[in-house]
Amino acid sequence: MAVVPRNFRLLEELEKGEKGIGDGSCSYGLEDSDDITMSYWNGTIIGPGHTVHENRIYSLKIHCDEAYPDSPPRISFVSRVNLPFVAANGQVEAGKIGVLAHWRRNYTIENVLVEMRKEMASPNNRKLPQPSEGSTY
Amino acid sequence: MSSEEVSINVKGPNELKLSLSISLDKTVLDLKEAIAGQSEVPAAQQRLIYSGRVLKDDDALSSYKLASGHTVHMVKSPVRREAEPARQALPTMQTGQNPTDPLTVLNGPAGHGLMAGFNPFAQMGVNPNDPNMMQNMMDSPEFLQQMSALMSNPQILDQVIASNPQLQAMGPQVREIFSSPQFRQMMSNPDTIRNMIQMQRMMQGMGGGMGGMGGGMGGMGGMGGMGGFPGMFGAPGAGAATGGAAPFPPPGAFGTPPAAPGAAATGTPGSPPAATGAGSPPAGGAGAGAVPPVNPFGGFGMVDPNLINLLGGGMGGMGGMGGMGGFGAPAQPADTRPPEQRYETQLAQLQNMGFSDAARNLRALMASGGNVNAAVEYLLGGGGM
Repeated sequence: MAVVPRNFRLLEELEKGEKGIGDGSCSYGLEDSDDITMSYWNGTIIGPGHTVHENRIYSLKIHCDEAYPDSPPRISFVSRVNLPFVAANGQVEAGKIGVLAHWRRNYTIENVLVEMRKEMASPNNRKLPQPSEGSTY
Repeated sequence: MSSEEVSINVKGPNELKLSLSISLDKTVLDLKEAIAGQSEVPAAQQRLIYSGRVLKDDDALSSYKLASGHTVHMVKSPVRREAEPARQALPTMQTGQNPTDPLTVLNGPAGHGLMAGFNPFAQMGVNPNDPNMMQNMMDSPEFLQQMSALMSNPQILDQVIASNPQLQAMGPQVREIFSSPQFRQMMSNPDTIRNMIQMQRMMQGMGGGMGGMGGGMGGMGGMGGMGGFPGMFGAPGAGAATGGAAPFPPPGAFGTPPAAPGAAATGTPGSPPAATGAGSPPAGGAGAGAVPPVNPFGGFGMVDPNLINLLGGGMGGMGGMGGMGGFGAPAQPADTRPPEQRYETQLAQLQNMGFSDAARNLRALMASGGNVNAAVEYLLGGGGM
């Protein structure tokens, strides 16, 4: 199967993000729509219901460098959050979350966001005490 | 930029999907209002997300480079709920702040351990008007068990009795009342308590300020056909009436039992059980002697909103009783400051400990009656979500 080049892939993801295809729990788009390299992205995760995250909106920064999608994007939380795979500075530690640790080329930004959202709802994480809403790194 | 119109899609909760056209020179707030016009969600409760960003009210839509066919996600913010009735109940928690006091111990972390998994106050703080709350509480086996455990703990009973001069005056009978299975059954009988709640609602609805009226309503407690209970109802009824109308207890309602009970007796002559229940204890102290052993509750009810108060307080988590029994007029003057102010120092302490969700901290403090240790316990146990 032909390998989709980085730019095509990211364009596809951009369109999907803008049109809001997906379940709506996660959103993403270019930080600056004039960024022709499509490297810097914003993302949001709407906290899953029935957890401490409910009704919260977490903002994230996503950096897709030249190696994307061969290697995973680098992700950091802008909104403060207490999760085992998020370092003290908001950086998501790739080794601690499956979707990044076992990255595959066909994974997308959306996959990453959705996986992190699932982690928030996991029995281990759903009740972790969280910083006050609206605080940022 | 331009005043170009774009047609966008809005996806919201409950499968909400809207299409609307809006000019790009409008602000985000304008868009929210347009959405509010087509949905049930007021603009103030909407949070809009587009392209991984939360849209700010004052920004022009053009700044987000919205284009036709794009989708904006709408999230509904939770409605802020008033913690009002919780405040009513709280004063009952102020009893016994000294560490040697078994009541305080109950209020403390150990007490919470005892009540693990059961926290009427959590619900209380979140949705105090929920008519199902009490029901749920009553259906909880822990609740009944706890009640019973409390009642059978002589230490606690002694404490309650010792801290109320009226009760002291009543002497050993009080112990008897408390330890009587009938009383225990009454306190843990969902129906009885439900009746009390209803009574209290009624009183609040009427906004009745007259203690006498409370007493009169208490007489109606006999409607359950439970001969022993009318007196019991009388007191909480009066409590509710005064609590609703005045921040301080009118002396006629409580301090001098003969006044209100008298009203109860005469107010509802058609209700014989009420008349006997009310008539038997002529006055607080003396009443004790007069209470016939067959009808301990009549006497108990008459003398004692304070006692119920103490009990409520002593039961820590069970302070939920406060809202229910109409303990609107507690022994101490009610602290009417909003909980945020009342617990200001404790809130700061929790914040310093790293519990940064202020709303949750507040709920925890309300649940623990302001005891920081208990609040921490509660927060760590995942309460107050």
